[in-house]
Amino acid sequence: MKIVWHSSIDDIGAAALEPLEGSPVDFSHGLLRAMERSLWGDLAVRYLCVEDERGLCGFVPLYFGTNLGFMALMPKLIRLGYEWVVERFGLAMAYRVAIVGSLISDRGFWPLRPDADAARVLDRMIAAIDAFAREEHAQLVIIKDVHQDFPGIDRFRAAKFMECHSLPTVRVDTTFQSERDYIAGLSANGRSSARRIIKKSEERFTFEFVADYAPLVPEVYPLWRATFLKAEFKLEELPPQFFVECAKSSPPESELLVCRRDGVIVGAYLALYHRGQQLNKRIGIDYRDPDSPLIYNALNMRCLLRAAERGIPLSYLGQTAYTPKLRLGGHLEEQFLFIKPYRFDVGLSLPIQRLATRRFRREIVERETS
Amino acid sequence: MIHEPERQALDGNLDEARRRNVEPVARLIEALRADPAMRLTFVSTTCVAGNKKGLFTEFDHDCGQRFYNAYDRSLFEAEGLLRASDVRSRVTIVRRCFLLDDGPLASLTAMLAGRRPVVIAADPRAELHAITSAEFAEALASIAANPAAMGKTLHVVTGFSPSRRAEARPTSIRELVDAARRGPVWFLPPALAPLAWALRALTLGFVRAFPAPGSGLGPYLRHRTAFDDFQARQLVT
Repeated sequence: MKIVWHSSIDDIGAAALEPLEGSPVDFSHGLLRAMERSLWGDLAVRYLCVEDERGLCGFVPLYFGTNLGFMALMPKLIRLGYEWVVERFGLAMAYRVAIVGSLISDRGFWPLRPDADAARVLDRMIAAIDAFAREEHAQLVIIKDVHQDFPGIDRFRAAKFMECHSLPTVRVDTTFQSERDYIAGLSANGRSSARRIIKKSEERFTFEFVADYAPLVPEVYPLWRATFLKAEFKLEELPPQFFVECAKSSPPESELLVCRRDGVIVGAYLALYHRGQQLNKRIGIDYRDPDSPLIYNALNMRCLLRAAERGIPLSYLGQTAYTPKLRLGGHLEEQFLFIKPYRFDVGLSLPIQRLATRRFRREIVERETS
Repeated sequence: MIHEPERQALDGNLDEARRRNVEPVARLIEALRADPAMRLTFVSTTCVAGNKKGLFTEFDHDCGQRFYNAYDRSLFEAEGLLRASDVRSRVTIVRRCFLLDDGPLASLTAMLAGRRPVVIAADPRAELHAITSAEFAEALASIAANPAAMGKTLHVVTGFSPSRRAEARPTSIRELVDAARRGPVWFLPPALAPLAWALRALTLGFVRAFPAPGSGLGPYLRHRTAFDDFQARQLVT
């Protein structure tokens, strides 16, 4: 078993990734390629591969630089304090962070070949990450959004990473046969809300699924941007090029659900799907529209119905805006961050970070949204 | 029609900046209304990003940012008027980065061309987009002549060229300085700018300090904004 580092996902190739099992969309060749081609600032990516005589056993992307949004989940005071120091004393004071995993993940299952010894492969990968961090003088390594059901989660614990909660993800089982079937499966509250959403949205808007959506990016990007700027947790900032690359890449397949009022686009939702899973990513809303909450709900619901229509049994709706998503039939699933400091003073702040992320435990999020 | 802002001082005189940079916009809009064949290329600045950290795209305008001076704010307001107007589809807003050979950066280039020591209170790793006046003039002429630019906001930043798209990434302040320096250069953290000025005073001006007190340039030398030029690139490819 040997470790190989690549600087482009194209060096690995889509075919080599096919035999691996993990999150089929988050770690798909196309999504990682789109991300790689739209990196900005000093952010760089390497792909860590473990190979044996039969080929690739496992792989994971590793992003490093000073402009990663690793402070997004921290309390405001800590974020502002960090900004203050870096602003006045320069980027030399910024943490050099390596984030391992898909930057826009919803379901962190590292891709591993099913017949490989998972524990051994993961241990080799963790050791390689450790060596990389020391060589590149990273001060912090964050293994991002490891899903609660990922079978190798204990390997990160064994490697003495500090375990913190990440934002839970929202799963919807899109196994229903029809719109009626979907609504029947919701709670009483959810049923009346869903009927209202369908009726009102049909009256006021038109909806269209667009497969070749690259030409629409200039029109839709301001809506994605508005949603990002309004979000409580500003996770990865994606440039317009990312969406153009997504439109060109496969796998995963992707399409854009476009919502129009009087011919003008007032909402859009990007859905990516591959191997029985759909990720509904990056919703864009025109918040000047008086019905913007209706647009949000209608886009979510139509993407779920579309997944069911295609026979995709599992959909993920992302890591924010839990109240409407749970009402639409979503269930929360825990995700974890595993953090390791490589400098003493950085390590001192970790207990605070761990404490700060306890508010993302599933039961707390459920309680707050109920 | 190409319009450049009339007042470019990086100070806090907002009334004056509004009078000379924002008020003429109403007249430009009237002129466009009066002549349906007229097109406007409005020169603005990437500094309308204010203190927004991270990515700032051509689609962004009001991100809740605060401004470092009246000039940046006045152009933000002028852009707002144009974007909200009914002639928007005939207006191209060109956001220009700093010029290497004109305006506040020109004094740095001149200092670095000498052999005396220079102390720069700046973050050497921060990105500073800067092009030459000639490069900008070429870009502006090309954009103004291109009907596909109408209705768009374009970032003209490091690496932009109307004839070819250079793949060069934005230049850090250290790279800019290293390319121009002839004598010794020391960097100080931005917060210690007064120390650079004190050193200049103690050496009776032998050691030169940048930026000068009151130049208004300080915030841009610790800036952490990445300017995306997606639309500008699309236009030239």
